[in-house]
Amino acid sequence: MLETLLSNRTVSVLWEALPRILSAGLTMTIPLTLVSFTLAMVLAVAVALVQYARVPVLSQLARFYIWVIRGTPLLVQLFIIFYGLPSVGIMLDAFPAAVIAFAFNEGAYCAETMRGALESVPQGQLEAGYCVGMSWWQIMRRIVLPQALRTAVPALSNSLIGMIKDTSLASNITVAELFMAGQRVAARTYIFLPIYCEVAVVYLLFCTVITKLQGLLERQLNAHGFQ
Amino acid sequence: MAMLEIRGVHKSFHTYAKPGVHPGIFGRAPKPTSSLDVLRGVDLTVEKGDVVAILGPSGSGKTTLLRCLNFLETADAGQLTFDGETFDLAHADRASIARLRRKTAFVFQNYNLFRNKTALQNVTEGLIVARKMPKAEADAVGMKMLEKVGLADRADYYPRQLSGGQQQRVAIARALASGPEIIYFDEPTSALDPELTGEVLAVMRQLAQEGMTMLVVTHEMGFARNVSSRTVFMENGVVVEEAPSQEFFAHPKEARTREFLQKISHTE
Repeated sequence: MLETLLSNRTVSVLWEALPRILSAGLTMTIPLTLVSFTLAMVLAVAVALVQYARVPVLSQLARFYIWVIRGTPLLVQLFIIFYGLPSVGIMLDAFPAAVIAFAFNEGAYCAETMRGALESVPQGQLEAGYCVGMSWWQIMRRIVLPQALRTAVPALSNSLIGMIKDTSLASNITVAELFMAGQRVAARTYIFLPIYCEVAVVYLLFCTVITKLQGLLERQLNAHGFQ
Repeated sequence: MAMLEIRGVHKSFHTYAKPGVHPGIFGRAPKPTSSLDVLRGVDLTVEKGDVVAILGPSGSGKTTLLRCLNFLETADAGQLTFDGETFDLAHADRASIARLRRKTAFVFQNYNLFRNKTALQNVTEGLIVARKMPKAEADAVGMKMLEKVGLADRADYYPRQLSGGQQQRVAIARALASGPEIIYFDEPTSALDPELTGEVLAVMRQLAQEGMTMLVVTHEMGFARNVSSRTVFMENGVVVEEAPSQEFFAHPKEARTREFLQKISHTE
């Protein structure tokens, strides 16, 4: 059985598929992840801050946003944005549609991570800031947020790694990313198990790199007093 | 004229049936299930150069009083006159709170050093960010202050790399950096073992000798007796007795004060 799985033909197909899968990963999956995650983080910090500061109206809106996003499947959100919105006149290309869906989806989860991290910073840090004359916003920017981000790094890395894999869902709205590249080769050659395993290995490779970077980042932060 | 005069400070804490409840934008304030009157009309006068020790059993409101004076808590009522300017402790606007805080400094029981900043950065942060002092100038001030508390060689250490006593001395350096007219100390040695307590008290004694005005909530009888110029005894949210420290310890007038001092002397 192993012979049929790894016949000469299979090996050569796998070999030829590798650059396609890798390049789809590098030109689509990674950019999609990075752009979406960056936007998600901006959104998450804003959503967490309005709740932390208990800004009226905005903090209720934040709860509503998190409730809706967390309560509905990502795939459905992708379909609503890409296939649904055109019927009300909003036409988006596949890539921006995917970015919007992933950013809003991940933003909701990361907002909760950030809110927890913000609340874990002792109240005394704020009080000390007030007593040396700093404003709330200065304290947030220079004292509380840096400490909260440090606390949140492991959980945020989880989210980032999760997101790399979730971008495979974008193949459903015609984004030619890593998974779709593999799918095309499989459909053409009828070699399924080895190709999908190859796809899995490439995802694993990407996630390994992120995990290493996380370790590096944490060591750097620890060396600068964030612990 | 007195430097600091406080009149009629009242403060109650409320607990609610549901934890974490706060009035929503359209909601009414929830009704408290129980209330505790922590401060019930406190008057106090501090002259320039005074070192005032505030003593009292746990729950007497000493810490709350100090926190109200710097608006870390909002009092329910009360007035504070500082350098001739009067502040309403219950309804002060942001600008006057900021103006008052520029003239004061606060040292906390658990130091509250910025955990993501080095000792030097802890001292200079307020100068650079709040007072817009150029970094080089702030660093020079910062080093001078660290030297004063004997920690110039620890300038680049992070709080977690310092002992409790060292952290508290950095906190005192931070308080001194902005050139305050008065420093509030909230039980500055209560989190320290006796040896570390000594090094912090030594710094505070030095400040007292240099004429710094200080209001010190403390359990250190030695400091109250030997360093402070006046001692105030608080209980149940009111000032029970206040006198020059020598007199306070030699001839306490109130029965309750005598009882307190007696109890303390058994433990010392």
